Amino acid sequence: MSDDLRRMLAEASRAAQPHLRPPGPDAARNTLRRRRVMRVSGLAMVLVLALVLATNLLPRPTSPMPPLVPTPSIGPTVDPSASPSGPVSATPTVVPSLSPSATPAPGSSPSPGATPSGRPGSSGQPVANPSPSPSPSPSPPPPACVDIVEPQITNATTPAPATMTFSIAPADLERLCDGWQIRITWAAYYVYQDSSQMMASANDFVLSAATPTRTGRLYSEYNCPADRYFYFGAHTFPETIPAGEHLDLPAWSPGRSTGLFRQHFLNVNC
Amino acid sequence: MTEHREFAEFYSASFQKLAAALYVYTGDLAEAQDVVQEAMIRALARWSTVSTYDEPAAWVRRVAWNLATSRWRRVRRGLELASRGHREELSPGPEPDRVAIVAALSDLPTRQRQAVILHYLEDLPIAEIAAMIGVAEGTVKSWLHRARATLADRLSELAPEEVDRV
Repeated sequence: MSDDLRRMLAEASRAAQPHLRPPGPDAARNTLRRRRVMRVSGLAMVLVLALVLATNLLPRPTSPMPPLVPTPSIGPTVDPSASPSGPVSATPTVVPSLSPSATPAPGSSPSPGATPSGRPGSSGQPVANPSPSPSPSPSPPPPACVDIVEPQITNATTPAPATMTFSIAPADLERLCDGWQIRITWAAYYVYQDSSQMMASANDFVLSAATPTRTGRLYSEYNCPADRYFYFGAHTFPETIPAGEHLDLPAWSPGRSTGLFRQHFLNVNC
Repeated sequence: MTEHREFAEFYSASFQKLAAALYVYTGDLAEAQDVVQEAMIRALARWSTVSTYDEPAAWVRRVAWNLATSRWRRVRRGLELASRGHREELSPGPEPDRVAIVAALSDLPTRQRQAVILHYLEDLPIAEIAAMIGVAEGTVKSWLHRARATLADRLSELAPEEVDRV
């Protein structure tokens, strides 16, 4: 039977061959080329789609040096600037402010307004006023998140001994980017006998989401408080400042994340 | 360019024989040509490798047979043709007296039919068929035995034969 079966199968196969119309090797090549083009096109479309989705879904990266946007503070705030040559009574001027406002230029006389917070431990400690630099404008809208904001400082101008508290306003906490860190270096001076300034207290620390509030101890300044400087970033302050001089630190400005962000000239005639 | 010529020569030498064998298996000339062309396209896609084999035709045969027995491929092919608005056209085939064996084979189970054609038409040894399908050699022998018995009923001129003589 095997031979018969072989013969019949071979005949059927032979009979079919004249009716076969092979598409040809060129047709195979064209089909292959078309499939490759389709595959590449499909991959390109998937990539483009993925890019579009990634662009729209991922959080937008913040600019590396976002501008410092002052936080409106509620309640009385302290005018951060006092004249270096001002009288002893040049205690911090309380200015009720809901928005950052320009402060009097150095040299102007502080107004003899309310003096609610000159003593440590009193309630309603003054809160340092935001930097006067950028005036608020209705546009452009604030970025999705920022890397740095100006901390609030209580007792920034309070005579020593006292404890300053550095904190981030709740509103700022919400708009800071994840993983934010704000390094602060500060120094407080007192007036020495030759009218030069000697460093009385200094410290540096990092505010972060884990520790959004830190304190700094102001040691005795012998009742003659002098300049106080607060700096974004690491900074080494000099032990002494010559009489009649002040540190010439770079002013903080939008676009930079380090530099001076607050200075108080509390130098008085003791 | 040499590669192109090599493939063209291989195609011309192999297509007819493979397609004719698959026609006996499927009973459909168009289907047989379709699966062999698809196998050729796949060979071309990796021709630099396939051409180094001792028998490139064996690789193409295996692919073509896998395609012919793939239900999924048939479904996909049907959908593809339907999406193109393809209308089935019957390819003219051999004369009826030549295809009596094809009709008789169509009554066999798929695997038995495949074993019969690969063994009696393609002259593949049982061991190779077993490896190709992925079963034991004894299974192939059993299929051949049953297939011959069935075909003997269908075709009066065929007489049963013991399986150990296959």
